[in-house]
Amino acid sequence: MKILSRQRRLFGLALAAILRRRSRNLPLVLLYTALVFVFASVVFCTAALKREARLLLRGAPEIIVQRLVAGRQELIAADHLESLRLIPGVSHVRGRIWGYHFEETTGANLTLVAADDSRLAPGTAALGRGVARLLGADPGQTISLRDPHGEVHSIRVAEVFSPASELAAADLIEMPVADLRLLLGVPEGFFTDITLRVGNENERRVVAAKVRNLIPESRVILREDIARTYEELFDWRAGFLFWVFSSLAAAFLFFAWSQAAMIGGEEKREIGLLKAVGWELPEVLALKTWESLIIALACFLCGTSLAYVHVFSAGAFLFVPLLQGWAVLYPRFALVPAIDLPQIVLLFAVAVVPYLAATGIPCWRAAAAEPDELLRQA
Amino acid sequence: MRRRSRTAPWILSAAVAVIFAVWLHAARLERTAGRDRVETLSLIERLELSDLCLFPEAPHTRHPAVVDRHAAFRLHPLAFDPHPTGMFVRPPRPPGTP
Amino acid sequence: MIVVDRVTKIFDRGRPEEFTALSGISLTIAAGETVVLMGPSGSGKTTLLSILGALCRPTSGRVQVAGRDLTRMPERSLSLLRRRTFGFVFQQPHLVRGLRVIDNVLLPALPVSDPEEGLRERARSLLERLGLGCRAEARAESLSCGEAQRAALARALILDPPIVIADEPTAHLDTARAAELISLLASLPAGGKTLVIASHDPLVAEASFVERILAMRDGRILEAG
Ligand SMILES: Nc1ncnc2c1ncn2[C@@H]1O[C@H](COP(=O)(O)OP(=O)(O)OP(=O)(O)O)[C@@H](O)[C@H]1O
Ligand SMILES: [Mg+2]
Repeated sequence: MKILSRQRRLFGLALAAILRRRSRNLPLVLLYTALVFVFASVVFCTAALKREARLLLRGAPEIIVQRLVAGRQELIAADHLESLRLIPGVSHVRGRIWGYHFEETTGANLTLVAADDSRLAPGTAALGRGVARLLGADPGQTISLRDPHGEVHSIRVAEVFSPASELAAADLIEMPVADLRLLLGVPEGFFTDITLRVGNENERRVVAAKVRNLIPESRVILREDIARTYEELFDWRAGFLFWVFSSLAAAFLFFAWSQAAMIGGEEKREIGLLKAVGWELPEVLALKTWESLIIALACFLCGTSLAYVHVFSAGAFLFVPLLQGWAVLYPRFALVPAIDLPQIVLLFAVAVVPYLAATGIPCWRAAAAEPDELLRQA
Repeated sequence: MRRRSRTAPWILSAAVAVIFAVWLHAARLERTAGRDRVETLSLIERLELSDLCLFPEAPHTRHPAVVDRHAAFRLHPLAFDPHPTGMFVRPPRPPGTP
Repeated sequence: MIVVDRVTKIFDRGRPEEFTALSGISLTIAAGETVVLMGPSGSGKTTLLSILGALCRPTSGRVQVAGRDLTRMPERSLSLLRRRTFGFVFQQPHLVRGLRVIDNVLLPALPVSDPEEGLRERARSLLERLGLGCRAEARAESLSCGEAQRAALARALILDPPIVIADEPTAHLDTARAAELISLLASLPAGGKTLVIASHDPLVAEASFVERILAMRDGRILEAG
């Protein structure tokens, strides 16, 4: 209780000291907050994207089998479906038909897919939000797509996917299987690739190995591999930003250090006074640490809250271009906070601890002098 | 010391309020996002999609299934990472477009 | 009891600007005694008081307070000595700007765990006695020089130290205020306090409670009166 009340009094004194040196602290505080903001934005952004990818990929097929010819993906024969179904552990096998479509007027690459269920009538399609936006197509209107023979197909828009699905389906055009075969030029008896569902997590690798034995010219892609690719991709991009950031951070720490090292005469006299009236060195340092800590915590809180608003309310408008890269068709989606304790601890460790060290050490050196000498400072 | 005992709680409660507001906001977003995610997941399962539409223009990332080992060498020289979506410069226009 | 034994203080030793501020001072001050150091500016009064008050260490020589050798004490014990044994009134008031007067007075007591209310009461009554009762809540920077010096005296007395060291306590005061301050100082020995004052104010030297006057010049004590 005594310790608590003493720390409370030290806190109050430190706060008064900070407010007293308002003009000296202001640029520091602004810079510090901006830095925490950038750093926290990157962390929040990548963490949110990574989590979204992880959660949504849970719905993806566990194994994808593709046929390679001369190192390139080719259509795979439907005959394989039967033999793949016989592999123990495989619960479901499906041939996918999908492909890219280069939309010439806008220059966008769209993805054409087909589903097995005949939800869509022949000659109709369901569009992803992004496609609908890009082509200005609403349900009921028609869009035209060109097939490999140069023939133009008019397709009626039956449906536009809900905005919620944009992260998965912004660039999709879903069509009935027969229409899509025609449009992409995939003959009957062939698929683009084959997907397998394997319920048991432990069997996936075994199944993949068996598929490779069964179809030697195949490439087998596991869902985990795709998920890992995403993680790595975001880590790479975030890493790039961190690299830029770390040099900024170093510059800032140097600034903070030099500011603390250039302790003004007034501040030195103050330390001298405290020592002269009987404060012990640890008590003086505790006061100074409180000062740094208050600044650091305030900047940390401001920076991270601003970053939060930036990423989760303002759509991370400063970073998404860098994380997403260039595109004609941008999916529009709101990021969902994926903030957890380790993340906050990481942010804290990176943002607060070095600052405390950078400001504490010069202060400690100054405070080690004799009170008389400190008091005589002009 | 009365002055600081007035300022300190004020600042502390402001900080707590900010944290609380963020937490509330995050919880609310998470709730609606949970619903959206269920919808998206059912779409993904129905269409057997295998990736996200984050980088729609990049075949490598839109469909990692078609990434091959040569991808990195087919990039624009100004690309700053081995994915074309990292480019700051647009790709050349297709022939025939103005 | 304070015993000063052949104390010298040399500033910037070994450099061209080397300066001997005190050369071989020996002096004994009994407990409860009141001593005034007089001397022209630059004679080393402040330096001597700083050494007595454990604010700096002498270059050579020894200082004993109540039988303990200050020059051999670790820094931590010196801090406790400054806190509990000495009350120091500096030549400049050295109040912390931005803090209220009463908080300035309470500054030495901030890290100690004495009951806060008692200390606050004591600070108020000290300020009252020094004629600053109505300024207790004012900011330190709004005080005049004389008021600041009196607040500094209150700060020196807050933890009730047995030895009070005052460096030019009346320097910024008019005669009436100086007389009041002297009468306050005069009440201290009655409480058993040892008082060491540096001053060239004749009012201090002539005050009835002063038991001994030491004249200083060029870092030496000339006469004991
Ligand atoms: N840190 C220092 N470095 C160098 N010289 C110093 C230092 N401190 C004091 N001196 C010198 O020591 C001498 C004695 O100083 P001191 O402050 O003790 O004088 P004083 O008797 O208190 O004078 P005044 O009446 O003006 O206060 C002065 O000449 C001063 O310039
Ligand atoms: Mg002096």
